[in-house]
Amino acid sequence: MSKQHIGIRFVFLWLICILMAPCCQLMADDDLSLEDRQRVAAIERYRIHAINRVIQSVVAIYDEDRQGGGSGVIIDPSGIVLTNHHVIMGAGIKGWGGLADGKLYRWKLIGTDPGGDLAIIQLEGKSVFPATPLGDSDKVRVGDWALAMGNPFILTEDQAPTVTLGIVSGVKRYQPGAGQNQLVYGNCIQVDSSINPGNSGGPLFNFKGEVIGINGRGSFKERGRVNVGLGYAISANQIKNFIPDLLATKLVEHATLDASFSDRGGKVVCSQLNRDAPVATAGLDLGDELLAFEGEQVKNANQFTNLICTLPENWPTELLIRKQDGTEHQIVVRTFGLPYAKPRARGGQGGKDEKDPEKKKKLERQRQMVALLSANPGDIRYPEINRGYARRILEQWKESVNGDSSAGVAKLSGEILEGGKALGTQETWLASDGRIRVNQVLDGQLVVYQYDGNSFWATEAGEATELSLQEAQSRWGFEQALMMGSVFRQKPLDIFGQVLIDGSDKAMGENAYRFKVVPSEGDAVYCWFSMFDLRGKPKVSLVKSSLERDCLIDGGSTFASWTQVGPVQLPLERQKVSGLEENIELQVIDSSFEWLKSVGDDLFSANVQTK
Amino acid sequence: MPVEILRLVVGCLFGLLVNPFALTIAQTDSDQGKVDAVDAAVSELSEAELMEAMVLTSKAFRNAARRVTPSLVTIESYGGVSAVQGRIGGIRKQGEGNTTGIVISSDGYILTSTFNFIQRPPVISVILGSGERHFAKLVGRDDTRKICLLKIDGLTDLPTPEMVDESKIKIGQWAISLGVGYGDTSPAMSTGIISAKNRIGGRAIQTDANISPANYGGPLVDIEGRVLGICVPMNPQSQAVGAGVEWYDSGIGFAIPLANAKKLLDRLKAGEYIRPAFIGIQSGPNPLGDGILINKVNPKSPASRLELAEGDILLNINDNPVNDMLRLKQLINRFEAGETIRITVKRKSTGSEEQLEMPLDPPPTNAKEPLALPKIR
Amino acid sequence: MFGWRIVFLIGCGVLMAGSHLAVAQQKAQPSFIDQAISNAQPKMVKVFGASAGKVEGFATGIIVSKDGLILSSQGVFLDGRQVKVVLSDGAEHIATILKRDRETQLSLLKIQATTPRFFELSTDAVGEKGDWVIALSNAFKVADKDEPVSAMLGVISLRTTMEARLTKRDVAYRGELVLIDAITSNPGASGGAVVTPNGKLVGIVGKIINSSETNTRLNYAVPSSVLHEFVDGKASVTKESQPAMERQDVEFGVVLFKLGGRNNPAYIDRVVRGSPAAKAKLKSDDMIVSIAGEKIGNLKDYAESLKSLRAEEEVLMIVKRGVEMVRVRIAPRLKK
Repeated sequence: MSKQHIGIRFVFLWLICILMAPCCQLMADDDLSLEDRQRVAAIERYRIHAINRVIQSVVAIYDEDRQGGGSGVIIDPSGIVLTNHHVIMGAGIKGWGGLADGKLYRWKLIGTDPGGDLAIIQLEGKSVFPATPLGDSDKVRVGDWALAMGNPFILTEDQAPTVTLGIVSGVKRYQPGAGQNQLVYGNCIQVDSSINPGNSGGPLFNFKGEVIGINGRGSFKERGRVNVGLGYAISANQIKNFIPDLLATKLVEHATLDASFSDRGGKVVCSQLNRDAPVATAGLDLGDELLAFEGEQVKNANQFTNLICTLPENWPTELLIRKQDGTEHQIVVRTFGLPYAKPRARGGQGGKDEKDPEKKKKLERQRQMVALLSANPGDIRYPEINRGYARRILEQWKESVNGDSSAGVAKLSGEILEGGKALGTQETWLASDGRIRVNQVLDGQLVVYQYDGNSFWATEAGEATELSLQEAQSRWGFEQALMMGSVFRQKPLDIFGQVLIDGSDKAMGENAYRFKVVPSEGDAVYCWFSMFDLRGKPKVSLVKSSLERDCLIDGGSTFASWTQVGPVQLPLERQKVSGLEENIELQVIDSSFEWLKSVGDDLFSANVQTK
Repeated sequence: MPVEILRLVVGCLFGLLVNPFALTIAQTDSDQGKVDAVDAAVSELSEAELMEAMVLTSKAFRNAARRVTPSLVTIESYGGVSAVQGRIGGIRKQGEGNTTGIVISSDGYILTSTFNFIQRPPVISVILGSGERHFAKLVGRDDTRKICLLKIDGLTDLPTPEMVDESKIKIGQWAISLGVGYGDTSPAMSTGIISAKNRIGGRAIQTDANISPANYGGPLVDIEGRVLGICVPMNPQSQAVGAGVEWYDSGIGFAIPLANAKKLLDRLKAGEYIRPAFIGIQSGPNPLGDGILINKVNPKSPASRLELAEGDILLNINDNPVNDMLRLKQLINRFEAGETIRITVKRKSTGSEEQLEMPLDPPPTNAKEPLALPKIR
Repeated sequence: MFGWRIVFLIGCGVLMAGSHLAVAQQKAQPSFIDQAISNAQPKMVKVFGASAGKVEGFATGIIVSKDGLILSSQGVFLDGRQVKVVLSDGAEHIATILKRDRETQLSLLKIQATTPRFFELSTDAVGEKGDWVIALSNAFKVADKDEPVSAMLGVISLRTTMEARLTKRDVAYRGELVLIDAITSNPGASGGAVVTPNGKLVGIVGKIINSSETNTRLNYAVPSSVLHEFVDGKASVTKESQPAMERQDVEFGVVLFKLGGRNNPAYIDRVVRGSPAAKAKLKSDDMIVSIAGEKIGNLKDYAESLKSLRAEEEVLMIVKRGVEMVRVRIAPRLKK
């Protein structure tokens, strides 16, 4: 054979090898190679897995008689379920929920938000439920895949939900409400995934195993209430703003500034203003231009409306305004609430209806709903249930910062700064048995704070004074340490009294639970626990504490840079902040830390001579 | 020569071993490690690759349609009752066009939807994939599944489609509906996913692909062109032949799986008329405890024949407890007229519980049935 | 001897594998229609006009030239005093109506603005059955001012020509349609864009019409080739290019069985002696199945069919005789 001949045969064989390499027992299609079919199959399989990850957390919601249809999703393994307010209006304050495991579990209503059509119910009957966490709805883009799951037309017979696939058709959409300030969908997600009556309250998932919204509305016209490709979901980020208020067992109102803005000549200006509103007192005037709201640039009035729809009453909102004279101002105020019409209590037909057991049941349910909607918005309707959630959140936090409970003392040392300039130093000892000592040197003066397990002491210029809990809390150095010492306590914050979830709030720019701790005597103290970590995963962390809700009088303390010190995590950076703006006044940055197995007992007792 | 063969073999083996996508063919779902690897690979595709994969998916849709089209038939109806009275979900009358069917055995049995014959046409013809037109006769009918069986005579080698075993159907997989109802010889296609299984008395799978009179009686296929089921209108609230059409193209659609349906098809071939079950009571949940409280018993019904009376409590059916109306309806839906169920009843008269055998009737015939349609919601 | 060839083969195998792995490592994760949507949005407009009773006064439109030409659907919203067009950046313009056509249900509008981003109208068919399409429209006028119009995903269901009408009063649409399975049959959606993931325009969303075949709402695009013709105005837009011929009254010479009404199948009662039917050897009890390819479902269909036939012009007729299918060639005669 000639060399050329060999070469050609080789190339020919090489080509055959290349083509046959993804070898197979099946013949490829004329159009698609086997590899192509595998690629197509891989995409399909990916979606099937994405569905399997989340389908267990979808709830088919029924009333007590297993009638009616709505949907929900479990967002926490303890059985916390999100659904629509209008679903519980139909179902009542308790009922049955079906899961994909085929079983029915009881649920009861915890809190509801008629303004934004959101409610939280609690599932019972298991210690750990399959749950899917909330994602970041700001990352959702038009064209993203969107999976809707729920129980449209009450089709499920084995409690497995209906799954429909579509795309995100629009973001930051607005759908007007019904009734007085109710069922408004602002800044919501629009999808073409099929959503029908019965899907309400159910989840909208992305392919990453996250809830990006709660489905609840659709556009319908000539075909009656049958999907025509436009469904709307409450955004996950709006839901995050309401979770603490709902877990607190409230009837929640939505935010208003008591001011309106309109588009005028390309600018967004304040066109209506209640002179007594906090935002007016804080400096807003008619005609002022709104530049940014809640950190987002505002280009038209619709945008403002959309954004404020996502906020609850009492939310610390930030406005950047430009006044008529051209100066720019930052205003931070808490919002008022948009009221709901109080339901007219329907006087029952009395005796006659009471005798018919079915009618009696119906009347009872009506009464329950009237009672629910007549509650004072913002009131904690069931303190015991509220406390249960508060305790659980604190337990979660405690576990994440102290898994070990081994004995010892954490010692932190660092500098006190003001505006970047060193003002002094601070040493903090926190013992695992709860005792505390702080050596604070400011402007050359040493103050020693001590807690020996029973009483609080402050020693200044050699003089030891006993403090009440209240007084101890008003000393910034002591207050920080008392808070940090919570990592060691059996029940965090019990030193301060009984804990309650006070409501939704923002702390240091993040979604937070605002806790209120009420002592047997004296004033309450507030603590803020953030809800999510930097990546958006659910994680509870102590962020702020203060004697006053808006950190006005003595300011508040913030806690950051949580670092492992021995068996616990402690915040190595603390700040003294004031006001709703959280202006930083002082900082403590601990540059060194150690875990000591033991220290002298007299470290924590007063009357120790100062150095 | 042997040397080249050796190279060939080595090349093939090497390519097989090294190509990661080839690995997926050997994969089973229990192999979680490999599954996660596929997920990771897909979730990290660049936009260009994702686009390419979706373009390939379109080709796969077309291939799937091509594969099943030889077994797809066009059904023509001649005559029948005039426009059906009333509106069905916004539709003023049944369309005038042709409808769709599927050849299910090579000797000329064709399955289609009863919806296509709402007008009771006396004459039916079928245009096969080959283009030939044959007259067909109605052989068997199943009102619980909204399907009926036609027969053409004189043929032996009609192409039949591959079917997918119901147990292998997965939620989230592609589902493609095909039908000739728009009048073109080429079937119209809609794509979606499988939304659920075990619907409507456990008889149907559910999809969000468009299902409508354009494809009732036509196939719902997977990405490989294998038949998942036959498209039909369904609504658990009503067994009327047109019930469910109000949900056309709404993302709520149903198909009857056929792969495991040999017994059913034999019954239809034998000319059976399968009808839904009816017991003949009006009831509500028992406000004082378990079970369903009977408020009224229809005359000449299965309930009346067992002498059930107002005030009696129905506790369970075939050992399944019944405590609410939804459950009652769903349980009864699972049966057919002619079957017998075992019920436990607590008699008001005696206060004691009895176990009874109840043969099930079909729903009472309503002379207006062909024209009577479910009210729009 | 052959060692280097083995190495070469192995090398190729590795390269192939490697390319797959490298591919898998690349960063994620926009959607596959992201580009198409963001490229299309600047070319979309919202159209607002007059409403008439229940019919909405808004629609969608697409920009088709750099100097403000806009294509939309034809409808009562154009009948009011003013037609307002809102561009994707929120800028509002009053539009003048250059053309409107009831046959194709299209309209051409003009605004005084420079519109550098516009859709090219292809004369060829864009997209085939099974291809993904994105429908962009302002259905239900969800988008206000500068908010982007809504996007829906579907596939092309069928490319076809068909007859469709909404109510008896509407003009029947007889044009080419690209049926899609995304639900575009919604108020205000007509005039929207239907594009491929590559950003090419398949057509514009058509008006709400029912298919007479299925009596269901049709979701479709008016194809770009039809749009091109309309905008260019070169070819006649009406499909009836043939001069309307004078209708003849023809017959085959059969008497059909009339008992039962016009919905009965077309059974032959008797054949008139010496008629075309007799010559074609049609018999009593034959049932007419189709004439010239059109199905004869009932007596009404038969009567309609006769209207379009011409005397002495042969057509194919299929009849059912017992269980047999019989084909005859037959030409009708003028009615006496």
